[in-house]
Amino acid sequence: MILSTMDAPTGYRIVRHLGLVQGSTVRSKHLGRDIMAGLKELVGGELRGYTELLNEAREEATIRMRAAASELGANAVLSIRYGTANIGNGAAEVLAYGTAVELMAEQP
Amino acid sequence: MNWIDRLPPGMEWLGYLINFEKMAWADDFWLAGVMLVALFNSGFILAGAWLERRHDRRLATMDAATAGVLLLTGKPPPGYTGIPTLVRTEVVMAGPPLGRISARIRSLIGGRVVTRVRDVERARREAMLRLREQAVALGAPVLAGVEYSHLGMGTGRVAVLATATALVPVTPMTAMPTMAPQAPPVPESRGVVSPRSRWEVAAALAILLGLALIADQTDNWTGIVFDRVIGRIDKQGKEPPPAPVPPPAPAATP
Repeated sequence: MILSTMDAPTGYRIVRHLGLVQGSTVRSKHLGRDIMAGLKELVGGELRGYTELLNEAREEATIRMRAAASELGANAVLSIRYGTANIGNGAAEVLAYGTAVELMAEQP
Repeated sequence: MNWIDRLPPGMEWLGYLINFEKMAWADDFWLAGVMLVALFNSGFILAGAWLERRHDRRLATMDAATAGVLLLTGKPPPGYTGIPTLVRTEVVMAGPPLGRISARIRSLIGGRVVTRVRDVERARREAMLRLREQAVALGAPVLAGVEYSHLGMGTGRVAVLATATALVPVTPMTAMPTMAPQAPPVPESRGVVSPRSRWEVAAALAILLGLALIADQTDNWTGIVFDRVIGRIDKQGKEPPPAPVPPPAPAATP
C-alpha cells in the first residue's frame, strides 16, 4: 500500500476516491522510562524514552489507518496528516488521517 | 533584645527555626549546603554544555550523501518520479541546564529567549537530519511534502515531529547524487542562532564557584546576615551598647 503526504503523486492516476480514513491511539511509557527521562532532563539532550513513545504511537496510528484503508479496498492513502495532542504527563494521543484512494500507475 | 529572646519557656524551638546562630552546627551546615549546591549545579552545567556541543558537532558535520537529499514542501517539480514512501521522525529534547537558568532570567526582562530558540532549532535540525538519513537508507534523492509540527511536552521540553514522502526510484540507485564532494551547508542550517559560546559556560561556572568560595571564606556569614536583619549587631558588626539600666525607683516613704 502506498502511503504519501502528497495530494497526487506524479506517475500515478487516481482511479477511485474512497473517502477519509483514520487511525488513532493513546500510548504511554512505564514509570521507569518517565523517571529516567526526568533524570536526563537535568543535563539536557534528547529524551529517548519520549522519542520512542511518539514513534510507537505514530506507528500504531498509521497501522490502524492502513487497516481502515484496506477494508475499503484502497491501495493507497494520500494527503496523510498527523494530529498529536499531549494528554497530561508522558502520554501521547496521535491521530493519523488521510484520503483512501485507488491508484493506477500511468503508462509512460 | 528581640522577640526571639523573649519567647516564653517551652517555645524556644520557634526561634531555632530562624535564628541559625543558636545552632552550634549551623555554619557548617550552611557552608556544606552551599558548596554542595554549587558543585552539583556546576557539574550538571558542564555535562549539559558538553552534550550540547557534541550535538552541535553532529548537526554541523553531514556527509555529502545526506546533504545531497533535496527537501521540498508540497509536490515535487515535474521530472521527479518514484514510488512514494512515507517517512516520519520524532525528536524530543530537553534544553541544557544553563539554558534553563538564562531563560528564566530572560523572562524577567523580556525579549527574545535565545536559549529556547536554540533548543527548538536543534530539535528541528535533528529531525531534518534523521529524515535525510532515512531517505539515504531508502535510496531516495528527493523528499517531497515535508511537514513539521512542534509539540510541548511539559516545561523545558520540545518535541518536533516531521513527516515527508520519499520518492524511491523504481530502479535502485547505486550511488546517491551529491551536490558537491565537500558537503555544503544544508538549507535548514542557514539563519540559525550561533551555538552557545564557551565564555557563557565559563562565566556561569565562575559565578557558582565564586559564591561557594565566598561562603567558604566568610566566617559565620549566615550569622552576620541574620543578626543584622534582626538588629542584634550594627553595620560595623559590633553589638549595640546595652540599654542603660533604669535607676532604681526611690523607695516610697511611709
